[in-house]
Amino acid sequence: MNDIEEYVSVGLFSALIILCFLQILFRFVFNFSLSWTEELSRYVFIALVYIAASLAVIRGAHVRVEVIDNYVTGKAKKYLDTVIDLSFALFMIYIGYYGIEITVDALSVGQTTPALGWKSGWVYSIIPFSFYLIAFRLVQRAYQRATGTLKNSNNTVGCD
Amino acid sequence: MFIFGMAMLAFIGLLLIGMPIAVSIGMTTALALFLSDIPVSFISQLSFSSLDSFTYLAIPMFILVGFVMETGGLSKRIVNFASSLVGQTAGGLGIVTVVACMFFAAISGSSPATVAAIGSMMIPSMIEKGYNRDFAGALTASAGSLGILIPPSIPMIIYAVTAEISIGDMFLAGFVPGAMIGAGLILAVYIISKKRGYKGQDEAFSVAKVKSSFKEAKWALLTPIIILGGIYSGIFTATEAACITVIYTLIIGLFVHREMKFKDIRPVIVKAALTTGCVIIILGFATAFARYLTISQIPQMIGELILQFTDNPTLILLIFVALIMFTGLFIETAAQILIYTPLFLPILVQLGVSPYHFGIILIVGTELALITPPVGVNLFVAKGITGSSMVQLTRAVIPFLLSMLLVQIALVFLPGAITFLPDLFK
Repeated sequence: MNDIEEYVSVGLFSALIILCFLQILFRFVFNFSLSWTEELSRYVFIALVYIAASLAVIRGAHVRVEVIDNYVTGKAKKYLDTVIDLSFALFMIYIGYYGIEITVDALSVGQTTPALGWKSGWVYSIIPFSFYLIAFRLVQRAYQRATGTLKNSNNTVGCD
Repeated sequence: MFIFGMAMLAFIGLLLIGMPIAVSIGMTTALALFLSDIPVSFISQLSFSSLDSFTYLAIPMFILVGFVMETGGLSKRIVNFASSLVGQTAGGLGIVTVVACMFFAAISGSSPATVAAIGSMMIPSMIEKGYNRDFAGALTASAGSLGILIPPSIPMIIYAVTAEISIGDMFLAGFVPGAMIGAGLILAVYIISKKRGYKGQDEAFSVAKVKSSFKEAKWALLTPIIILGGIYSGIFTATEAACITVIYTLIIGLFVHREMKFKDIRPVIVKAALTTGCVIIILGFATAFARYLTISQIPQMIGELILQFTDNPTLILLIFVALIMFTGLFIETAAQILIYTPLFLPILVQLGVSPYHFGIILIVGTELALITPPVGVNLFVAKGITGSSMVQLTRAVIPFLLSMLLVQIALVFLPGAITFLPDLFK
């Protein structure tokens, strides 16, 4: 269950490389430009970014200023981390809500993407979907912290 | 301007309580939009549209290249080659670290990836040879920051997209400044090593050894030629060059060096995806913030404010160096580029400064931000390898920081060193 983001990220990343390579291959070898690979790879990229951002939430890998860790420790730190996770979640729900609005609007207008001819609304739904996924993961973390089952509390990996 | 001030205060507050940087930027933007009566749905829209760019696809690919080079044995061969070239002088291993970082930077577009790849090899061998642990970590953190100044470079891609200039020319602009910073670091290593008695390798310099290590490293060393040659000859876009590099380094790692197995591919992609998620989520929110600034005409106000004070572009750039040094304590690469470019570039261009000149000063500023605490990603990576404390690393990084700052200030006065190569290729 906790590996879903990992599988999806690997799948999307691989798809990105394959799509981009296909585009180069067709242009050089077959002298023929595929119009849909560029568009599709852009959407795959956006999905990858936000699904991987959710993975980073699970791993506690988002970059932050750690000064406060020297002053707030123990139980107080636990409360603070919970407040931070939950306000991060609220923010995602808030912005994700507008995402739903935009998705619904685009669907009702019937706007389609230029090359693939897909309904723009569905493509756009990546934002609300992944933002709510991130919110879910944050609430899950807060719950795990409260019950003492949280792994990966605060590791900073190189994120740049 | 009042709202802008409020937003900045909120931003600093959020950062200090330990809110992730991306979210701090997002929340600040939401607050500023709300107070300015601009619909907050704007952030949601830009989370999608600001990433909807084919050029940005190069970013995850160059991140992946860094990890593949490490796993596929390309980094190791680069280090061996650098070691045969410069390992004999005083502070030999330190100088090897700088040179290896420069080579690695010419393939990888990311600075923490450079620290991780070169540091995981060089830091243990420096410590083994009696170098101070903090010195080894601080040096690698500093030299690794060259990853974003010597092309290809992820921050340069973000800057070129934001400033609407050519990525190829921006890459070219980075070569000379990259070499200058490299030389400055080598000088600093040499002086410190002389003082502390760090010796070079026992083996004498031998042409045969250089030749054999070059032969080993030739596939790795060919990579920058493929990337940059492909881009400048107009065969590839930056994104396509990045994709080809991923495939090329994979083939070398899997089939030529045979140090990577098929089962290694998945963990490498997971690492690259994780880094992509952390970096690019910042890009989406920071673009929204930059757009808010433009809508509220903050750049014009700041521009007028500066012009009241001075219309000397050199002086403005020097003020900018100080400003980015300060904000670099807290904010990292992508956010700085997206916010500072609309704030400073229009007025500087109006005063006759080349966008490449400003771009390089900005990129060097973000390099310094990577090695200044409390938020300095390169320091975190180096700390993970040496086990030093942040305070120890910070103390050890000061000489390198100063040497890089001096080069940055010199570059303010030497626009020719930056624009010379892009002009040559026009």
